[in-house]
Amino acid sequence: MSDLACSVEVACVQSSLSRAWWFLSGERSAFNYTPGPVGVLPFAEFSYFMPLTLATKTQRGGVGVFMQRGDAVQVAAYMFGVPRDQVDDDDLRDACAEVCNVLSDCIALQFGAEQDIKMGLPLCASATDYVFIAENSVSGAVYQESTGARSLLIVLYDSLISPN
Amino acid sequence: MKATPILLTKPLKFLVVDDSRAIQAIVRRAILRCGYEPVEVRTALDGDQALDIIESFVPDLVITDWHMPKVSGLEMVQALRQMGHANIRVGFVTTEKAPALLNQAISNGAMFILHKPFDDAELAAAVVSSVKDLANHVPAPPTTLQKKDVEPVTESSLHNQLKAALGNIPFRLIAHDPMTVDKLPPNNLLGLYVGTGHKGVYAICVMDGNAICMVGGGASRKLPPEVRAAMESGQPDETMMSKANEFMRAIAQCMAETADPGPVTVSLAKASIVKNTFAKLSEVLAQTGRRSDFRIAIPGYGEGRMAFFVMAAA
Repeated sequence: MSDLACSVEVACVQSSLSRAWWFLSGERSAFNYTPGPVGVLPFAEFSYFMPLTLATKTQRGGVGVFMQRGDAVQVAAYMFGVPRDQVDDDDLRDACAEVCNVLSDCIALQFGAEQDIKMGLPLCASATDYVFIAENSVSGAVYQESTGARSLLIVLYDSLISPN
Repeated sequence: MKATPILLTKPLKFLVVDDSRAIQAIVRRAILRCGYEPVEVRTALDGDQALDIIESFVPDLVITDWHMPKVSGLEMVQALRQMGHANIRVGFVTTEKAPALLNQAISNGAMFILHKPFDDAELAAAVVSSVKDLANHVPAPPTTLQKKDVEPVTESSLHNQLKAALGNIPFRLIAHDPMTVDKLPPNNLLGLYVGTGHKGVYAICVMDGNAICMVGGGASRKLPPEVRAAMESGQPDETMMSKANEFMRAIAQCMAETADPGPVTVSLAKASIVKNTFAKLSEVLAQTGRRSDFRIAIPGYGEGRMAFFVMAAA
């Protein structure tokens, strides 16, 4: 999926991510871009992967969305409109899957209308799954919340290999 | 920014269908933000569950996701129509962008298609626009959504101009859906307006490539396949361009009506095709001041966008 990664216009992705993060968390934020490949990033408790397939190619890439618990709780509390201490694990899984869905869509859209991108379903990765994916996949670029106040990382994978 | 409560004689009923409970909560908040009281909001996790609920709870408006397990949003709407529920109104909140699929939603009567991410205010505006005629004794939509001083072109005046251009062709106008660069096709029509008593550009109109083809094609009574082909190629023909220009000229009157302070005579000074990469276009679209944004949907044609910006200081 390196052609895909190349065709992503970084500025547009950043703008889309900011708008999406506002929708999901109520926070204004910008995203720094780091071109890939990057090494294996540390496991985050809320690690979600979204497979992306370009219809004209057989290669399968994807997006990884990684958050630590504090940020996951914050975003879930905002989405559900409840205090942080009322967010349970089901709420966290539900909210983080949607975060992965919306942020992945921001990146998928940048490939343009002529590119038929198929998005799969978000996969919640355990620590073991994460190690497998990180060791077998090829990361293309990283978008990181720029203030450093959040643990949010969004990784574009040129090739995404998930367990089973 | 909750709207002033609008008391109804009977509750407005909503069904929110989404496999994410978090999105259900966001949509519910936007419904409550419309200010209608009382309202009944029920939720379903997929189309199958929604169809079960509708057997005993007939909503005024269904707001549904597209991609869901078991029965998708579109399949649910098609099933609803087959079951004889022609009057239940439907809007989509989705990440789906494929034009062919979106056209299917429109042909099944979707009142709006809102793409995630959206602002609460955008969804609230779409909901108000979809149900305002059902809300008994409602004098007007919430004032927060229709302030003359921030709307260079009102929904009703644009509706009238479109009606004049399109004749009997049915169309739907969705207000408050901001035009952004990432939503623009490659070629777009940029109109510059001048106003008496104002130096330089008074206002700007942007019609995206789809809107050019739809308004221009509709005004010249082109058949849907011809319009869709022009939309797909991004190449409106000469007649479409001429009619779109004519439409832009007519819009000057709408802008004159809302000029503040008035009166101002507004006229179209220049209209040119610009690429979506035109740097100045981004600056215009980033404007947060006096602007009006609209999405237009025409069954058989598709969807397009237009936006109007007053550049002159009040």
